[in-house]
Amino acid sequence: MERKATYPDLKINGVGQASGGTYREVRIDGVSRLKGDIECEKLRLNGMATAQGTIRARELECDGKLNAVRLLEAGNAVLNGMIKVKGEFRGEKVELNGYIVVQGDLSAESFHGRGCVEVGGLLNAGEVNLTAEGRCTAREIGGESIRIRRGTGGSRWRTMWSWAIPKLTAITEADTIEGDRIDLEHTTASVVRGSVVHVGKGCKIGRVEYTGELNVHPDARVENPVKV
Amino acid sequence: MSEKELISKKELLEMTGISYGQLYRWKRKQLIPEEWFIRKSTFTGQETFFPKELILPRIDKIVNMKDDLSLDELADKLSPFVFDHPMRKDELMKRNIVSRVVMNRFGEKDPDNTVYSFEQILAFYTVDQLLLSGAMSLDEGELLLQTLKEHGEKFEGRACELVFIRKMGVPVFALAASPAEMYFESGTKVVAKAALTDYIEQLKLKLA
Repeated sequence: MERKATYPDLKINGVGQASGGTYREVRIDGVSRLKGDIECEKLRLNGMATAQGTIRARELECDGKLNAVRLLEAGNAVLNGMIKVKGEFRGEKVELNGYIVVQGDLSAESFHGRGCVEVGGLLNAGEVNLTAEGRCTAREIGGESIRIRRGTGGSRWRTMWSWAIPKLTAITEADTIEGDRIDLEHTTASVVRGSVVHVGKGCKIGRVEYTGELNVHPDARVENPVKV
Repeated sequence: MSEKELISKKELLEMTGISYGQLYRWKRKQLIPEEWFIRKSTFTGQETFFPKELILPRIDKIVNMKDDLSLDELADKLSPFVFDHPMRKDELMKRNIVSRVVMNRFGEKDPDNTVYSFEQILAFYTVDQLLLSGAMSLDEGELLLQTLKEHGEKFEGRACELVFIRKMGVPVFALAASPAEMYFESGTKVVAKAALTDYIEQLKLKLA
């Protein structure tokens, strides 16, 4: 434990690369490539970083672009910009403004996102709070409380161009959404399962299985509501 | 993997009375291993299934323990059990982790779908390895199995060594905390000395 206090800092200004290791604080301004596994208390990124190994950070602040190959593990993460993870992303409290792509699973205790989220596997968080500014996709969404909204920023510009660029349509798509309290708007899913389900405007849901109550907005479409 | 009995997520929740939120939270905390989530397509689309005989005891354990321990403590308690990796009897034989000879001799009475705990598998595996080395006879294996059953758990979490000695043809097994120095009277033959931790490592690799 004593040794931990003496871990060095890593600072990269401009263009550089690091081979990895354990650090106290890592600060990157500029463009960098992290070749090995990095473990640190705090990672601050301004600019762009590409990590080829695993990143583990107690705290992660990212403004700019971060590419991670294997695993990104963060305690508290504030992400502004663009994040791409080829493997898994694990966090505690994750706040996102921008664009995130995770090819594996994304799990966190709380996930507050505004922007565009693409998860290849399971988006698993105790509290999912997602405001879609673009097209969000996930194979599965699971958690205790799930709330999905459509963002209103720049909506006129977006409607104008969404016919040409499908990514601009602020809609959330998932195969299955499962949780205790589910509150959806502008969401397309084949199955939604939960105890208290609220299906708001603009939703297209194939099948809803609920144990408590179900509210459906008149502008939403639910093909097959089942009370279990 | 063949006719492993699977249970769908919906059935599991109905049977155990837990909610989706709890299940996902436990998965996040890695109380339920990733490999137990088996995705299969059904006529309603993709569904998640679990191996029934593994998941039910685990859920039971979590439900019973979660009142006394926080989830993080629980995770710590369960995950050093990464080597809590139970397996069915027929699968053990099929994957050739424990040879048929050993299984038939010592596990004859158990039906094919018995689930053995890691400790039991380890005992079988140790017997198997010693048999393979040719130092031990099948009858002596029985003795070893008993020793491991009786005293094996006392070494939980500690490095442990198995010593097999013979004097005038009489076999004696001993378990010792390693590193231990041992000297025997003359005329004693140390037939085998093996670190159980090595076996645990090997077995973990094979089971994974």
